[in-house]
Amino acid sequence: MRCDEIQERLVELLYNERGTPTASAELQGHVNSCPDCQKELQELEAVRSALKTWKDEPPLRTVAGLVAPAKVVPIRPRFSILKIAKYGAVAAMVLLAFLALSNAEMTWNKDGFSFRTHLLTSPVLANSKYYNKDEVRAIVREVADDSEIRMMEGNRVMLLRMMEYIEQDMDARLVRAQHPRNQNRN
Amino acid sequence: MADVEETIRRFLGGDVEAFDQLVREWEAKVFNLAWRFLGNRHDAQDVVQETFLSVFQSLNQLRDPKSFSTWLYRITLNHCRANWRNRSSNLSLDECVADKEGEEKGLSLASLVAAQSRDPLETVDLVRKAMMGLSQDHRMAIILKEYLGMSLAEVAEVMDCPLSTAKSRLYHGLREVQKNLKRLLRAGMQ
Repeated sequence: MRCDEIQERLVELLYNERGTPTASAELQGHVNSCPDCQKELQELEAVRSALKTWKDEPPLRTVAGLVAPAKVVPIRPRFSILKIAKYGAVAAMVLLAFLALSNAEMTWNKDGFSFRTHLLTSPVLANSKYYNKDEVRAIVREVADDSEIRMMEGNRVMLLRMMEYIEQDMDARLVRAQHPRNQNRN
Repeated sequence: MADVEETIRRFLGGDVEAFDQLVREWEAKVFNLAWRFLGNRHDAQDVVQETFLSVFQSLNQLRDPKSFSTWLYRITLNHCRANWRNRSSNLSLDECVADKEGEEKGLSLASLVAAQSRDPLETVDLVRKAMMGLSQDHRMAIILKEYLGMSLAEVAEVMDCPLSTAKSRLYHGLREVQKNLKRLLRAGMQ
């Protein structure tokens, strides 16, 4: 044990308070065998004695009666409505933040109230009511096929109508060719 | 201590006399703490008034009436520090040494105490000057321990620091007082 290591611990020997751990035997042993530390302890004792010469004095005047007003209203605990509202607002913000972070899902319908959270998971991946990529592709393909069929069907109907118009037109020309007099009269 | 608790309860119940009783019981201790920290009686008296005003305004926030003394000294310490900061100037040790009033000639530190019976006022003046030359933390640790008779644990609690820090402040504070006293004695011998 070196002197500079135990300097600050000399106050343990200096005061040796009741109710606190006493200075260790190692510390006491070092001081007993070290003239420098013994001298230092004596110097500290001398400083303490010098300090004791500065005695207490009475205050210049009493402040009793100056600080307290003439009449004191009983002080109630400081749990006002304002304070409760403040704590309530903070609690509500914390709750909302938790619900947002946990992807909370609340429903209230004729079946009653339900509450679910998806901690650390994405609701899109976890919930089967959403389409995945393959399902979306199948739907698009189906819609495209359907559109093509409809378009082809439309073209077929249009061609049939055109054929009907052409046939009707040809019949009309044949009729006019068979009755030229009627045609000249007009 | 039970009396203090009872007095506090009476005050919180609206008894104005109870607060005056509290002031009368504790103002001397607060005054002497502030006087030794600031080195000036009039500033110390201001601190007493500010401290008890703070106590009056916030006594209902004291959770445990048993810790009243610690709480009171902590408030006093805060007002002392504020008062110290707001001063236009604080005497340095050099200025104290330059002040020839209260010189103690030809005495070693050990004989200083022995000289007390011959000229106690001069001895006290030297001690006061030596204390004023300390840092605020060292001075406060010495006041709490030596003059208010607190335990090391209570000193740490009032100063809001670990026990080891309180011990360190006390040790270095005492060493500084020793150094300052020797310096003042040497200056007195010249």
